[in-house]
Amino acid sequence: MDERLNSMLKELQQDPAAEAPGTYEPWTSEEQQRLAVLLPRYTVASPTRQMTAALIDRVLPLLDDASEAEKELFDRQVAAVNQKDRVPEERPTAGYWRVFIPQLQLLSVWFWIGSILAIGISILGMEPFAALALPLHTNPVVLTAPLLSLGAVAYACRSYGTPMYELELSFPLSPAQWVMGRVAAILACYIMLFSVASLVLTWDDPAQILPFTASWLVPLCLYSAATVVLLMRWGTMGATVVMLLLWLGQTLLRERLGPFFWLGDLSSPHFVSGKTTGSLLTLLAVIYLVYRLRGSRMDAPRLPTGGGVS
Amino acid sequence: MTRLVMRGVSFRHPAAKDFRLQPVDLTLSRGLYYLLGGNGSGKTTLLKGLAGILPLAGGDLRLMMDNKPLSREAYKRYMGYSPQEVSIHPQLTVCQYLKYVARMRLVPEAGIARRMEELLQQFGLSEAVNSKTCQLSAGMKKRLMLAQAMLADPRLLLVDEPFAHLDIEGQGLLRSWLSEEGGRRIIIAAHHPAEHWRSEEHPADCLTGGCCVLMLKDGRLQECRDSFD
Repeated sequence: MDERLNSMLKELQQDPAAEAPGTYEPWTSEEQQRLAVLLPRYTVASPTRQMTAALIDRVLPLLDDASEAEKELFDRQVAAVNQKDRVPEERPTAGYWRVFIPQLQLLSVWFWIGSILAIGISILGMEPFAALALPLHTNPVVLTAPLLSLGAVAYACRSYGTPMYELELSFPLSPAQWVMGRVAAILACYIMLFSVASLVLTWDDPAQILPFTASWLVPLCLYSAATVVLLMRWGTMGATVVMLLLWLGQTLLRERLGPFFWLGDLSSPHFVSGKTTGSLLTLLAVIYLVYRLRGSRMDAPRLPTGGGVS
Repeated sequence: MTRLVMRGVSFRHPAAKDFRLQPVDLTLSRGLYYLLGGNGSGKTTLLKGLAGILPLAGGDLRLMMDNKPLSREAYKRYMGYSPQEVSIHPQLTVCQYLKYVARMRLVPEAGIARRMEELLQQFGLSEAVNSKTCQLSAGMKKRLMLAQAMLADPRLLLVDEPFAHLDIEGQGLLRSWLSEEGGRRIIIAAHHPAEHWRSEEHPADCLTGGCCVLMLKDGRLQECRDSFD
């Protein structure tokens, strides 16, 4: 044991009365009264468990040179004191859903109602749109899918680059879980809703279901992936503006873009080439995302001072 | 016993290319540590690095429990972080926000309600439980930040400028609370000295209970003073 501790222990164990019996004079009543007055001034509160634990933490380094047996004994004593404070080495690992669902709850009910309404209106608009016989080479469903997806991704990731995102980075989840929790759920729901729309719209001609699905699925995936990629570069607002401009440019220029017109329907002369380039670009965007997320290269780009996300 | 071990730990803030926190060698056990320094000294950078927000630019950082290092994920589970900035989802109420943070911090579902109630009471947020987080006053937001950091009962608690926006009474209560909690966990509180004590006083003398003072200057840890000594 440490010399200093050892000497302190010896000092405390000494009994002055036993060492020199009869050498003390009895206290007078005045002295006893005076002591009764003065003693409370020197009386301190009993140490709390926290104070004892803090003391142990500070005494422990003194034991660095102690023998193994002494260390073991001391560790057992410390363990007994700290028993209540102990936590298990690993808390039970929560499933992926534990962090997935709370992130979904950040999307308000109005977001889902708005999405369903927009998809419904686009389905209802198909017939009047076809009746107009405009040479646009696109249709309301194909136009709505990428527009909705870019808006939804931007809305779901709106905390990116804000102090809230910094706080979320301190949670026990990876950037990949952060992105997946938000984007994957949106994509899954939209794909399901648009698939139902495809089924309804091609009910009379089942052969058309695959080409029709490809017509909205490719732009939906491309616009979602591209929005996430741009979001990492320019933040939520920058990504939203750029993707909106792209959507607007594509809608206005249409077949003049050749294989880069991704919003074409089956009547588009560049349908196959457009969907192929769209799929390739989606693949590239996903590869880039995987590269960024695997290396956790997802630092907040610019952090505004104060305030939360809006 | 919990220990935070830093061996040559260094962080770089992506927003400040020319600033780099100089390597820190330090081992901290349970207690309260005030991280002091002027503006731009690197207090927040060090805290954000320890919170896992900034990537490690060098060195080795470990949280040891019973002499066993924790994995990166476990490190984050046992760490709580109260940022300097208000970090909220403004559309959520105080209750929804704390539930969201608790779930994200993997607090067992069965214990969330009880833990939230304890913290709401402890930080004087009980009456604001159904208010939107964006409607809270600056002081209440600060309390909310502290409450969310405590949700998972962390072994390592990092608080950035805890006294900011708090009134005198709130500061006093927080000081006592920090001293008391320092007996149960490692607490590192980044703090601007001028806000809290007069220049002629020794920092440690003004803080209740036992605490250590870590002084940072120009990204370098200058001094590690233990008020017990």
